[in-house]
Amino acid sequence: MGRKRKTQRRVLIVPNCPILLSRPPKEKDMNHKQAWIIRTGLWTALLCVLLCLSVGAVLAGSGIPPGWRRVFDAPTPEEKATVMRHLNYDSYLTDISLEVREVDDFLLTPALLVQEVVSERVILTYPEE
Amino acid sequence: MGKTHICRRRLWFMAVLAAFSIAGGIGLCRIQPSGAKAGLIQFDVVSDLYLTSGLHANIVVFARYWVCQEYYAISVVWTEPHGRGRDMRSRVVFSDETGFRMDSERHSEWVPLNTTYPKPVGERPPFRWGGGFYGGEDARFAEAQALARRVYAEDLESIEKPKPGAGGVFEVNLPARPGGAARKVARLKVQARDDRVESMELFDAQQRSLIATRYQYEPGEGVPRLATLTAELPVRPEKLPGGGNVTITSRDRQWTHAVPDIDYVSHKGGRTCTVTYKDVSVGDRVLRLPVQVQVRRSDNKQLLRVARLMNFHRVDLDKEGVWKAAKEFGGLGSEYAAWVRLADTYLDHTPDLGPLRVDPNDLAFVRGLIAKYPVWERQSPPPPPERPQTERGAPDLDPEVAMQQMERRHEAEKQERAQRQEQIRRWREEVARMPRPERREIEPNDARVIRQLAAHYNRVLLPLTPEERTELRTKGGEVQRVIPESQREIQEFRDKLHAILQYHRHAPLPEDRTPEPDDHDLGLIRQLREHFEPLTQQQDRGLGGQLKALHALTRLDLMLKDYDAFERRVTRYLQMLRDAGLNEMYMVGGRRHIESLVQAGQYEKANRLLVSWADRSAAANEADGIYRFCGASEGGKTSPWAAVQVLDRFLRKPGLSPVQRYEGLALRAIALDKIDRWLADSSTEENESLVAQTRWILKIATRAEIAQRAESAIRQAVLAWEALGEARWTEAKPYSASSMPAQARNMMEAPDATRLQETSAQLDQIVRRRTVQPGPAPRSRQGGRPRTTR
Repeated sequence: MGRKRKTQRRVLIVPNCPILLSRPPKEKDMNHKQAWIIRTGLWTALLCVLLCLSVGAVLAGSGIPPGWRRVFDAPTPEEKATVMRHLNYDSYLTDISLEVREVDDFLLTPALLVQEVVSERVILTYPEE
Repeated sequence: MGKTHICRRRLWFMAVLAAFSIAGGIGLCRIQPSGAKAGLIQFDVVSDLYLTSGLHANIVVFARYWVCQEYYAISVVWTEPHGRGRDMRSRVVFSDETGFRMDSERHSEWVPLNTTYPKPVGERPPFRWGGGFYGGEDARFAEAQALARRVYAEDLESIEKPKPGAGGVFEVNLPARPGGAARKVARLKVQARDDRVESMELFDAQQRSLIATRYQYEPGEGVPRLATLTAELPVRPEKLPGGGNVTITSRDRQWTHAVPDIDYVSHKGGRTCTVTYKDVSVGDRVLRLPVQVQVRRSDNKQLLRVARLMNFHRVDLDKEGVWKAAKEFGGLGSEYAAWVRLADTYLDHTPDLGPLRVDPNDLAFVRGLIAKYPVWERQSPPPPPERPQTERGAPDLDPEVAMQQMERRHEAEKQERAQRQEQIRRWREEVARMPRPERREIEPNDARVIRQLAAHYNRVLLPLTPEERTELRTKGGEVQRVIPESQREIQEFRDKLHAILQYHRHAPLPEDRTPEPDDHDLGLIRQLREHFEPLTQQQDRGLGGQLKALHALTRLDLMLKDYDAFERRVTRYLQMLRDAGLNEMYMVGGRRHIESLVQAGQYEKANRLLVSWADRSAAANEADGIYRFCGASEGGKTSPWAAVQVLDRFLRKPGLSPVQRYEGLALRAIALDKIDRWLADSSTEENESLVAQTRWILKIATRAEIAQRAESAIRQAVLAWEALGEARWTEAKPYSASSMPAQARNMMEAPDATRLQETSAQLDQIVRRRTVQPGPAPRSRQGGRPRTTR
């Protein structure tokens, strides 16, 4: 009886482990198996950490530019080609033209804002620009 | 019979009950903020625009608006600073349910700006202006998008009225509008309390957020009075057309490949738009109207534009009357047309060299003329060694292999660069040893014929009539500049004639001199002065109309060389800008007029104006405005002396933070370094404007004094940078994204440089240049990053 209680207490050390809960082993076997599981678990965790660190180092720490990383992350060759095309695009003049469009469209903003105020049952918001 | 009567009563009773229940269920039918019909309103708007991408300029647009529920009109009357292609080209706009109409008297040949676009205008096409001149006609799509995103009181009828004092968040799926009008918003999320909307977010059919709006109300009882509306606009996807199929022709082969569209974004950094509302008396009613709109970048809070709405009043006009009023307000009129002719003749003179006196088809004569003035032909650099094709492929999918690939390529490129530099160095030495023909004076008659022939060949090579160009432009095409094989020789002649004019000296021809006004035009100029003078004080023209008239008068003064009158009017112009609170435009406008006086050799007047202008500019503006002006092309780059004067005064102000003080000192050092280089550079003499500026500066200070001031200013700026501590490697880090190649910027996802970082990068370059090339003046001896010069 006393031995049984001792075994049950030890089972509780590693809870939720289906092998230990379903078949309480003998005390000798239990000690050996438990130690093996803990040891294996710790080694696996350590290995995972090392693996993650090494992969991270390859992808980020060792200097792959973020733009290029997006090429690797693209799942299909077509998407890789799209990312590469964007990386080669010079947006300097496009940004200027887009800003001029924004400013030009802003000319309409006062008209549309006042029109909302003088229009029946229109909820006041902010127009596009 | 009795039964029927009871049934009818029941029906009536049920109908009343239904009506009450509907009224009760509507809940938020009187919700605020919502509009109410108020007739036709006229008002003026002054829009202060700050361009940040590349242009770095402050532009102020003056316009009048007429708005009612059914239609609206906009008339742009004036833009400051005027000219240089930056004035708003969409002069008059009229929009109602049938169409979007545009009219531009100034650009009457530009068909898209003089067109009525029927509604519905359709979807906004992919943005095709990247790298080109943006066409203002696309504004019609902005209006269509705004209308497609409007929210109506009916949309909120399904919301249950919250209990008094309690609020709630409600989500509504929106149906299509009656009549099948296009609707961009598909769902909205509303936070409401006591018949007032506190916030609202709109989503499109793909559940993407279109806009999130917060409303703040004036405290008090009764109908909620909206105080501010704050809208957060997200970064938007933007499709850029890739260019379709492109055919490339090389020496030995030709191939075609498809260039697909590019997914880009607009509104980088997002936008935070704040609208301020106030009670305004309009006729016999008080309306809650927007009086100011402010737009900032959401990520860094940078101010992008401010519109101030003023002079609201009700007008009684029909549609045609509004269109006529808008045309008349922004229109130029016959006097303005006469003024433009005079300005073109006496201020912006284009020489008329008369008819061609030789036969342009007499190729023997043209060859002889070209042979008479041999030029040194620029040598093309040797072609770079071709790289092996295998090294250009896409990166390997395995990151480790890709890294090795990258390192190999990097090493190979380094070697190639070193080889190429050596190749170019040897080539330059060879070129420097080559004999060059003597530069000589082109005979006046030959100079005239060469210029006439070059202009004639230009017309032959680009024979499109203005109508054809307009037609091409309207259809969205481009003017093709492919020169046929049969005209290759003409192209060669034209290029050689231009080269002669560039290589050899040629005195100005009599036709180049700006003519003096004859008696008739003198009389016309005086008449125009009398016409424009009263317009500068007409209140109904608005500030924009008054400034427009004042600008016309200053130009007439210059035609008459009446510099006293010019000075008086410029003083008045600057006073008007100050009174309107346009302090940054005060700096820009004042500088331009000071330059006009300098060009005319009126140094005494220029200096007098400079002192008062610099004093007031420094006193009235904040650090941000001053540094934007002194760092932008409008201020520091074109007139560094003016920038130095403003900065000298501004830096004396107490209370500047160390970073603000450093930025001011750095800009001052950059401006003085520029002047120092102007004075040392002999090629400055070829630029009339620079010659005038340097002459003016040398009337005030000697070259040695400027060199000493530049040296001292750089030292002060570097010391201020060092004193920043940690901030010198963060906020004030010498960093320029604009000088990086696009591919490198994209690959590294390099962030945009701030104005301060760009300024630090410029200062860094100056220190490096002065360290490498010691001149006659004492120079900084430090290299690398800006360091203290000791």
